[in-house]
Amino acid sequence: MTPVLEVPLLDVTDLRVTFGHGRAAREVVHGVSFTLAASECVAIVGESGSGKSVTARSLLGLAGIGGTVHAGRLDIAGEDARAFTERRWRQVRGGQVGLVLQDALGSLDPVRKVAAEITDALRTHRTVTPAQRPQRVHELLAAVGVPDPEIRAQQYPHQLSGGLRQRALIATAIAADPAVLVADEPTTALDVTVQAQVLDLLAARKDAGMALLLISHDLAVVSRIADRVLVMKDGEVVESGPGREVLGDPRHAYTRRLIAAVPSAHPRGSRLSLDAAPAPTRPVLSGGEVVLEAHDLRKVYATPDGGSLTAVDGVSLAVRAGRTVGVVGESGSGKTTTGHLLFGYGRPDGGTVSVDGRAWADHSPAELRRLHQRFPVVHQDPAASFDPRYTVGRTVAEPLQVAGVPRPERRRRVAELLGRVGLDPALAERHPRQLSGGQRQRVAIARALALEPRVVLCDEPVSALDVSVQAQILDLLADLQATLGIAYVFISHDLGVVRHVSDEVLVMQHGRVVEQGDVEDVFERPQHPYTKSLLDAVPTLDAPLRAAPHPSRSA
Amino acid sequence: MTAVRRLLGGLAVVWGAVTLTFLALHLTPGSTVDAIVGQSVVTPEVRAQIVAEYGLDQPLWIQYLSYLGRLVRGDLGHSYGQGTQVAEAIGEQFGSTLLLVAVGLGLAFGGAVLVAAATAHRSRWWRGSAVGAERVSVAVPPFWLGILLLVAFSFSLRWFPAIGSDSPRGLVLPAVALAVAPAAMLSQVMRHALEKTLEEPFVTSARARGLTRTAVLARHAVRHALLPVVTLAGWLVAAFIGGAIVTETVFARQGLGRLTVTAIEGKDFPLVSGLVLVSAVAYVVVGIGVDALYGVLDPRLRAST
Amino acid sequence: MTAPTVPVGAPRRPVRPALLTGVAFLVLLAVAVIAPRALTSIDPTAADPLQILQPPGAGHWLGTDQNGRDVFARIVAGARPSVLIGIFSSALALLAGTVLGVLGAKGGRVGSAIVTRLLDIVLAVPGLLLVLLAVAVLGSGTGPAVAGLALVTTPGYARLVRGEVIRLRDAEFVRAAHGLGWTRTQVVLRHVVPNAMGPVTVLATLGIGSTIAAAASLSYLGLGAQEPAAEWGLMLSVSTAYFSRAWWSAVFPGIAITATVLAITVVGHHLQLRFDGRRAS
Repeated sequence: MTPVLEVPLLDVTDLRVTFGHGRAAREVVHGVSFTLAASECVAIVGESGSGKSVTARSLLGLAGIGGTVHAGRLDIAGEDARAFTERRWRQVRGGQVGLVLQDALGSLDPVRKVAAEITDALRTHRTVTPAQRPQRVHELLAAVGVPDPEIRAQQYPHQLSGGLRQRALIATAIAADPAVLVADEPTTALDVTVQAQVLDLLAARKDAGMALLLISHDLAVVSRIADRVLVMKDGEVVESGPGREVLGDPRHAYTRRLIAAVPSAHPRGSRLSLDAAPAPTRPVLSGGEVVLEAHDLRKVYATPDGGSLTAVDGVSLAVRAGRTVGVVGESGSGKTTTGHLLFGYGRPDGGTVSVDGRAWADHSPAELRRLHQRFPVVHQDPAASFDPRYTVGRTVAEPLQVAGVPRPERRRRVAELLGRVGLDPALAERHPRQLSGGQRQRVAIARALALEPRVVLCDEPVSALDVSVQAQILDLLADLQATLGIAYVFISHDLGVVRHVSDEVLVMQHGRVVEQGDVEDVFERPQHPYTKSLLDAVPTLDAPLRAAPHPSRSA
Repeated sequence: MTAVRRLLGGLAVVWGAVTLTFLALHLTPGSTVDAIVGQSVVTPEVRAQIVAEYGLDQPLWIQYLSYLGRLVRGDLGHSYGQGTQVAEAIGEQFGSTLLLVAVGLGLAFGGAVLVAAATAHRSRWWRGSAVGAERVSVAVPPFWLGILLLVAFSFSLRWFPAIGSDSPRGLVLPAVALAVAPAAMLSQVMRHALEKTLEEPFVTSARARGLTRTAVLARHAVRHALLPVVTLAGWLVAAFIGGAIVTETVFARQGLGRLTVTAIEGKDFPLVSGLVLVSAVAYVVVGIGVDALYGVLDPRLRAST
Repeated sequence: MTAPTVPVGAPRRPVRPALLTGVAFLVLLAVAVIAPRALTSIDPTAADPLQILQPPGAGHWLGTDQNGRDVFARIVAGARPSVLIGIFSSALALLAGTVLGVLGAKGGRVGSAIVTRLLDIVLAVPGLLLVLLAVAVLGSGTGPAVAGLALVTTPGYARLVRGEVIRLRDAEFVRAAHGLGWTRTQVVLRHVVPNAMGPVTVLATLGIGSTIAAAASLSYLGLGAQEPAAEWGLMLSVSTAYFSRAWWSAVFPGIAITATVLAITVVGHHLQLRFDGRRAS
């Protein structure tokens, strides 16, 4: 297991971080303690606002503007960092502790070449002589599994794929050979197969002796690589211990809630929020009538360089009343375009979509407008789909207004709809920007429910939400389906979510459906190699925790 | 490909400006000959010569074509107010204005970069005073600022020579008067860009590599802060040429600005057209230069072309 | 992905003294424009040869000019032409800019190309030179100044309107509104126009300020208002010659211009913050 050293690389006791001064002072981290040794991975797990990122950054003296750090003990490689000057901190940064952030497109300077970013670290820490720097840059890129390092070094971040960018970012962080690597959400926003590769790379660095502090909101990611886990909530560590124990046998109620909220671990029809009422039973509608039917859909886009891109190629599917069709795929797989075509937004370049047996194209504009009201859309970013001037009440009332419902009646219906999605009707007076992400998504759902929807298009509706909020929204969608008999077309990159909500599923890649069928069949007995590789790449909680070092799959 | 398209676009702009002045000449109330002669007194023979030269007895479209033809050959016409060729009159004054604008531009850029870098993300009070000073600087009418500078530093303190001097010291006050408003505008834009850049994750990444604040500013932030400034280049050209008109008048300096006022006052149409042409060409040249610079500053734009 | 935390309840900005001062000054200015008599009973054009270049004092708060006219009365009287030039030329430019901007955004490839080139041509000639050209064609005076200033400021509005229309056309909530069943016209009237109004209002406000300053420059060059009219730029132009003997007549009109432009800027920026705050979500 973990090699035990006399002096841990990081030794932190009672770490507290405060922002602001005097009366405006606000403590956001309330006493975090842990140690980290070589070849060890400690993970801090928490939702947004838990203070996990601030904790990680204070280990580099970068808590943020106006942030003050206090600690009973804050030792970096045996030295008391509480007394460090800014000059000493600069030697620590990159030299002893490296930092990798999420989203390498934003974390690498878009106007500088990859080589320049890595050279920054080499120059600052005088790791190698100036003459050796180009050579070292190539070695580092090769070490993090970037192919053709000589070519990649001379490219700009936007010219690299997401996975290569994240690798390059890791190369900048380890360039001066720090003993500790702090990785803050290093795989968030990456496609699942790329995420698996980056996790393997981090595991390989760990096995090579690096100490890894992993910050993540994703329990499944953490379970794959962490030796010890700290669960943070509202700036406090609510539970900590060996990964297997914390995730396998959680003691604290919050940890249990978090684990319960992960959809992949729970079958269809079960509740994700522990404190919610039991689910209403869903009427059995296996042979429900077909509402939407697509046959051999094709959509081609012209690319700026004069070529063409087939975004959707030969997709056929049927949506039945009261059922859910999940569409899953990585970015660029054509899943969103498929959703839009299915709901009559944009004309397909081939194939047909029909509503109750009649093609969208055969309806007059006025008929289309009326029809669309019963096929609403819920987006990933609900705020963007609301007029920024509108209050919650006006937003929800808008479809009723279109349908000519008189004003007093509208007011009553808005209150009813807000109640139905679990919001206080008093929120109608607020602006959506004053609400939390989960509340905003409820407003979007309330608006979708306004005119007795038949099928709702849910386009990544929970991707921007914390896992516990995601759980509540997914439960809400399930309840609405059970009580109102709505059908969903549910688009997501998250296999766990799709598996949890869908009756039938389409797996898409490069615009084509590679596999399609009953959700349990596809997930339990995948036929297509791409589906298998996707499922393999998904980190799951029920998979055995890392006991032995993982062989690195890609280099 | 894009360079050619850009050049053609530039030519179209110059052609448009030329057409605009041609239309203006013919829209002027009264006879066109009077407009060309302006307030100068000329003999009937000269008037006849003008009619022949400009083809004023021809249909309008022939006049227009021959006007374009003369411009293409570099003939900007004769200024009756100045008693010389328009090209010559402009050529004589060009250097003086170019010097003033160049020094003013240098001052404006230097000042803006310093102020922006010194106040971005600093204390509320420090930053707030800079913003206040910038707003006042933009609001002060430039000609009045010139007068105040003259009174304070030339008449009272006698640090700088009074009006009409061509010495290098005589350039200081006009250049400052010209630079203040654009500098304040620029530093507002730069600070905004700097502050946005300093909040970017790649700045955190850079600091996490051990870079100093100065290194972060120099290697990362300044380049990003220059991007929005570059887009202002067209506005800057206009601001400086317009500013030169006022500043040269206040300080009684030689230059294109003074020439413009004289030309307008004397209703010297050929000269006015020549000046419009010169500034349109300047605008286009700066625009093409800026496009090239943009590509150097931001590789993302290079990739898309 | 971690969602940003959203504070519940509207964030209240503290009362800003600069904003209050700006608003107070604009109210005062409005009084000077609408009812100058409420601020002073002295005739701004009444020359008194016995009272020339008197320093500020009890009889004349801000002194008198070279013709013995009261400087304060002339500043009050000068508010009207300055402000009206600013408002009229901004309104004219706003109208023209909106038409061109919408044409540029919705007029297809040809319309867009023509509008862009047209704007480029106007922008290629420095603003002041263009105004001077208008003055040369139309003769000096207030009318030509308004027309010239409007011509110069039109491209700014046109670009903004075009950008807003394009931004809103592609905005998620506008697409969502189409999906709710509104007709094309209803979407434009209910969502596109009201949301574009914010930034346009801000630009128009700031535009009034810069136009007032530009009009003063024009008068200073002797190409705007003419004597004996009370106009701020003209007052400065004439009084410069007497600076060493009577600084007041060359300082107070300048302060009036600066304060007016500054007050408009402060209020304009405040509007901008409010609209930006509303847009950010």
